[in-house]
Amino acid sequence: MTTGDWRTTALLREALFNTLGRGSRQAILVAVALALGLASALASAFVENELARDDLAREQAGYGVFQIGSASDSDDARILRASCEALIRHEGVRRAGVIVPLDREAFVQTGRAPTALVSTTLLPALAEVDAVVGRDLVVGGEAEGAGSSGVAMPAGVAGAADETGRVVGGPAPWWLASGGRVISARIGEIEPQGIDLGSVVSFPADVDRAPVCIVEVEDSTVSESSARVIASELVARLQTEGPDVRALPVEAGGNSLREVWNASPARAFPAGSGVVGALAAGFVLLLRSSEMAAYRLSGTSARSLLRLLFLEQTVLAGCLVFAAGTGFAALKLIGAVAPPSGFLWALVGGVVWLIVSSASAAVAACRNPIRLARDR
Amino acid sequence: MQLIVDNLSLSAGGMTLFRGLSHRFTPGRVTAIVGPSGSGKSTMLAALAGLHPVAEGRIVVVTNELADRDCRDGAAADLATFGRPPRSHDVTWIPQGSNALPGRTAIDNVMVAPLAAGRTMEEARRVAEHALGQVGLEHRSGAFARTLSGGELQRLSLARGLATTRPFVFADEPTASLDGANAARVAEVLAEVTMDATVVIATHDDLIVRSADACVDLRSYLLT
Repeated sequence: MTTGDWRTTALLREALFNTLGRGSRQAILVAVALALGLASALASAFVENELARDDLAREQAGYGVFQIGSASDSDDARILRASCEALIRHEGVRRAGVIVPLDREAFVQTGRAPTALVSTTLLPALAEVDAVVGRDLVVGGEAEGAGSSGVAMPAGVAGAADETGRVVGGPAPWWLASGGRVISARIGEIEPQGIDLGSVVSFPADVDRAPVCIVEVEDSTVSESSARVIASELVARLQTEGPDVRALPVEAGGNSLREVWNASPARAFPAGSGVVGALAAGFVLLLRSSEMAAYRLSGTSARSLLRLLFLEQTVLAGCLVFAAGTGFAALKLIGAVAPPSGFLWALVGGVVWLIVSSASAAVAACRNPIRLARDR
Repeated sequence: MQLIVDNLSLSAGGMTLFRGLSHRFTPGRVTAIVGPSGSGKSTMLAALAGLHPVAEGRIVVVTNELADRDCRDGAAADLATFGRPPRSHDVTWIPQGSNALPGRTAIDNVMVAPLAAGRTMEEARRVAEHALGQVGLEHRSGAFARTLSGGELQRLSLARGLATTRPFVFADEPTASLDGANAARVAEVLAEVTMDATVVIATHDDLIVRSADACVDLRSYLLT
């Protein structure tokens, strides 16, 4: 009398029939896996298309700002402020000046905010007021539109901030209060990428040396090769002490969409599709108690049933990966952008499906077969 | 393989069902377990399969050789000492009603039993075809289980039991949901079939009881 266990080939055949066979109860899961795989391919291609469009736009926008700082990671540069501000006389330079980051300071109207000393050649408004408040710090200022001269609170009204500590907008003139002093202020303009003063309260620079010199050129669409030439010219004109300095061109556009996407958890959405598929598979497994009972009550051990369910889930996860692969291949064939990383993520999605569904498979396989039979 | 039950007591839901049952279930014989509803027939089958805990006493599986030697010696050797507890995969279970694979054909459903015992596909198919013939379902072997009637499904379960190579076949009320003709057919198959397996049937059906080789009446062990 044979008291062995399922042969692997028999289990494989059983798994294929139970998933892909005519009349299979898991046909819905096959459809879900194929749909998720195709959706992954299409969504990846769509995202890649948008990223490529942004890359192109940024490439065409060129470089408009140069940050000159230490070439060493460990030591700050010491750039003579006068030499940096003098770059404004260089042909093609729109603005130039130093930025010296300071500690955060508490303001009645903004709450605690970073502060910095900034050359008036970089922020001309600092010649007229005591401080320039970055636009990101001001809620009401945004609503007033660019060019507003008001900031913080109406003159003589201390602490006119909302419950979040942010400034409430209102008519000019505006004042900024901190540590018992009240100073005149103005909302800063929208700055190009590279002049990171949007969330900083800036004061006029009264220092001789600074770690960073910022230069904005007239043409904000400087090409990469021209940017390199300009950078070397700017560095040559600076007077510095300490470590060597270098000029790094900053792209004229805003934040790179690709950088934002790569840092975003949404990037892993094909892996999430694996979780969705596995949860659907777990639900269908609940409806298959009678089938589980049929196997167990026919002498199938819990171990063999677990192997069978694992093989079934492998087939289903394989359907997801297959659909994604087919989708990517089809996109390639029609000349659409199909990133290889998208297929890798779909592969991860398949593995995630397998891992997550294995948990529900283990629970089903280890249940008492008599109870499974009664669940029908 | 034989099943030795020694001074068995079973409980369910905190209540003792019966007490002091001893019996030897031997291969090639059909034993009917009878008793009123709630007396513990199905629970006893589950316990024999190792799927329900034993409150008192022992259930053990022993080899035929050991059991034969014990009989020859004529001594009341404690067979239970030399046995091992039953395991669920020693057993093919014919449930009350039917647990089938609805999206698979009748023959695929029956093949599960020999395949679970490690048979090859060819062997399993041969055994399954033979078993379907025994229960009169050979003409339905290619039909999906979901298209079979209640009586046919019960016979399908029986065919799976016949196709097994497990040492124990347990049937729980195999004729309970069948009409007279189908019940007679099942009883006939169970009576006529010759197997190496130890067959135990929990039943109310006189037809089954009359055709069985032995009968355990739980009324004798119920608590009064």
